[in-house]
Amino acid sequence: MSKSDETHQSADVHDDAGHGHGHDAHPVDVDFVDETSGYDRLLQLVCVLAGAGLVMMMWLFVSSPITATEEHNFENLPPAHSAQ
Amino acid sequence: MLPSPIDLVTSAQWIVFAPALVAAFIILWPGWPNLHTSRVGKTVASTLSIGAVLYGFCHSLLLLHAFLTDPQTVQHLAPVEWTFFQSGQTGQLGAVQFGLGVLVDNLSVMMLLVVTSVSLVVQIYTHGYMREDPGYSRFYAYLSMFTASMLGLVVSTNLFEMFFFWELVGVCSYFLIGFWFFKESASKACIKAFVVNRIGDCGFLIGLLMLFGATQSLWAGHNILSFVGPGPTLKGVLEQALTQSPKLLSYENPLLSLSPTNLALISVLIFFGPMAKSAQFPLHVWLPDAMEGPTPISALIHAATMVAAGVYLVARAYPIWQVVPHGEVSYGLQFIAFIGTFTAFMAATIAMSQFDIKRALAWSTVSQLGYMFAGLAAGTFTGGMFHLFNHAFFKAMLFLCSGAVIHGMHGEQDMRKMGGLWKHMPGTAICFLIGTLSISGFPGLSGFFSKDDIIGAAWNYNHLMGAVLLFTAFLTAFYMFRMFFMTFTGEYRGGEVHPHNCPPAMVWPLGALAIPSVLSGWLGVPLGSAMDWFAGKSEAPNPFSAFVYYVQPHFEAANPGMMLAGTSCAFVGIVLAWLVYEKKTVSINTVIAGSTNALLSGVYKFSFNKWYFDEAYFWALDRLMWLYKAAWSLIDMFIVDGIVNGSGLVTETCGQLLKYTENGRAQSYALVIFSFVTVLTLVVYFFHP
Repeated sequence: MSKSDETHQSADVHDDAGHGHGHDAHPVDVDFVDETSGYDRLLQLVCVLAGAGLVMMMWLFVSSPITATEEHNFENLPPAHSAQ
Repeated sequence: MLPSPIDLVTSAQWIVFAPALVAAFIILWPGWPNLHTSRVGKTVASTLSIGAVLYGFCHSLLLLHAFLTDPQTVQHLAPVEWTFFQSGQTGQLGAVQFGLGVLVDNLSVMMLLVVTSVSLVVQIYTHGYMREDPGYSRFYAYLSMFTASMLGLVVSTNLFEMFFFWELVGVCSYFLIGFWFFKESASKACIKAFVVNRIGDCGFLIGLLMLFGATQSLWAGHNILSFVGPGPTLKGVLEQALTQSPKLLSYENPLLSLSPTNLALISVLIFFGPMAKSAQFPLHVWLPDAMEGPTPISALIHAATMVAAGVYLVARAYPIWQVVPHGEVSYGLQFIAFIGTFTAFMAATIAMSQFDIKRALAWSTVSQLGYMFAGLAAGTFTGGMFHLFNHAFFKAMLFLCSGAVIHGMHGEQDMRKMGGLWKHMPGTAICFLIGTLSISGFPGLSGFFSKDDIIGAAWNYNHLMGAVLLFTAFLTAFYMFRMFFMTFTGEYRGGEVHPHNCPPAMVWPLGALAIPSVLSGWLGVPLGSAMDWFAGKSEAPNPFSAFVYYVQPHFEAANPGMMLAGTSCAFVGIVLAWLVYEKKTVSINTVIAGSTNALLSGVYKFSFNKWYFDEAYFWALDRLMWLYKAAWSLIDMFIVDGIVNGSGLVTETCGQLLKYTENGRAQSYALVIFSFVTVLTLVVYFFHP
C-alpha cells in the first residue's frame, strides 16, 4: 500500500471508478470532425449570443422597475401562489 | 397594427416549448434519408435542435422582460388550458375537469430561463463533444425531446399534467444514460435509474390520487390543481378542505377526507417523487451511476435541470407541505428538512474520496440539491430557488469542464491519472476554478449568496440543521478543491496519454456559463444599498427576491455573522485541500486511508464505498427476492402441483372403483338400468310439485 499520496489508491479499497466508461468507448465516425468549418464558427457566434442573452437576463433583473421603486410597494405585483 | 413581440410571446405562451418538440419529431422521423449518417443530415439535426432551444431562450427572455416591466399586464395573464375530460358542469360543486395547459408566472419564467439557457449552451458544446459519434443526430433528437418535456413540466397548470411531463423527462433520462447501450455499465445504469425513479413515482402517484380524492369536491370543475389563475388555487383548496368538516366532502372514506394527518401522509408520499428525481436519500443511488451517459447529458439533465425538477415541484406545490391547521407544525416540511440536510452531509462525505471526476461532481450535485430542499423546508422559499438558479449555471459549467478534461485526456476519467492540466487547457482550468470557488461559497461569487441564505435560514429553523449545513460547506470546499488540485495542478500522472486542448465548440460554452457563475449571485443583493445590506442594516428589495417568492416577497438584511461563519468554513476547506493535494504537507493515505487505526481507515472505506448503500440495497433485495422465490415455490409445489396431481389422482381412483362395474354380463347392466329407472320414478312421484 502506498503511503505517499492519496493519488495512489489504497489496495484494500474497492475501486469502482472507470469501469469501461469514457468518451472513447464508442465507435468513431470520422466524416464530421472538421473543427474549423463555417458551421463551427456559426455555433461560436450562437454561443456569444447565449452569453449576451445571459448578461441581458441579469440586466433585466437589475434594471427592473420593481426594485427601482423607492416606495417598495409590492401590493400590485402578481401574487405567485396566493388565492385570488 | 402589428402586435409587439411582447404581446406575441405573452399571448402564445405554449410556443415556448413547441419548437423543441417539433425538432425532436422531425429528427426522429424514420423517412429521412441519411439524416443519421451524412454530414448534411447531422448538420440539419443539430441546427434544428439548437435553433429550437435558441428560440425558447429568446421567448423566455421576452417573457422575463414582460413580467419585469409590466406586472399589471401579466397579472391578467390567465393560464391557457385545453380540457380533455369533463364531468359535471363547470362551476358546480363536484365537477371534475382534466386538462393540459400552460401556466406562465414568475416562478416558471425563472425556470424557463434556466432550462433554455443551459440547454442552449450544452447543445452547442454537444457539437464539439459528440461530433465523432455515429449517434450524433439521435443524441440531438433526445436533447430536443428532453428540453421540450422539461419546459412542459415547468409550465404545467396542474399536478397531473406535471406528472405526465415528469415521466417524459424520466424516459428521456433513461434514453440518454443508456445512449452508449452497447456498454454493459451504461445499460445497467439506465435500468437502475429507471427502477429507482419508478419507486419514487409510485409514491408520488399514490399521494397525488389521495390528494385529488380528498379535495375533488372543492375544485368546482375549473382549473384543477392549478396554483394561480381565476379558478381555485392549491393553497385555497387545502385550507378549505382542512377547515371544512369531512362530512361535507363527497366521500365517507376517512382516507379520502383531508385531516391534518392525511395531509402529512400525502405530502410525504408526493415527496417520494422529488426524492427520486432529485436523488435524495434513500433514493439517491441512481445519480452517480447516471454518469455513464455522455458528459453533455450529465451537465444538462443530471446536474442543472432535470434533477432540479424535484426542487421545482416542491416549490410549485409548496402549499402541500406548508399549509397546516393553525397552531400545528408541518410534518411534511420537517420531513423535507431532515432528508435535505442528511443528504447534503452524506453526499459531501462521499464526494471527498471519489476518484472519477464525473462521479465526484455527481455526489456534489446530490449534496447541493439537499441544500435546496433544506432551504425550502427552513422557510426560505426564495433562498432555495436562488440556489437552484445559481447552481444550474456553475454546475453545468463544472460538468462541461469535466467533459473537456475527459475529451482532452482521451477518455480518462480517473483523477489519479491527471494532474498538471492547467498548462494544457488553461481556459477549461480557469472556468473550473470559477465554478469551484462559486460552489465553495467564495465571497462575491454566486454560490456564496444563495448558500449563506440557506444556512442562515436553517440556523434559525433548527440550530443542529444549521450547524450540519455549515459543516457541509466546509466539506464542499474541501472536496471541490481536492478535484481542482488533483486535476489541474501538480505533476502530470497520465503516463503515455498526451492531453490536448479542446475545440472551440467545447471551450466557448464554458465562457458563456462563467458569466452567470460569477455574477448571478449579485441578483440577491440590493445594489443601491449593498454596503448597508452587507452590514445587516438595509432590508431594501433585491432583484431576485422581488421576482421569485411565495405569496408575498420578503426581504432581509444580510446576516454578517452567518456570512463570516460560512466564509470561514469555505476557507478552512480550501486551505486543507491545498495542504493535502497541492502542498502535500499532509497525506490522506498515511493519516486516514492507510492508517493502522481501524476506525480511521474504516471511515475512509465507508466514504469511498458510498456508505455501502448499493451493497445494503442489493443485500436486502437478494433477501427479498429469496423470500419471493420461496413463497412462489411453495405455492407452485402445494397449490399448482396439487391441483394438477390431485385431478389425476381423482381420475385414477374413480377409474379403479368403477372398473368393477364393467363385468360384461347383460344381467348386471339390466339390473343397474332397472334400479336407476325405479329410483327416478320414486323421486318424481314423491317430489313432483
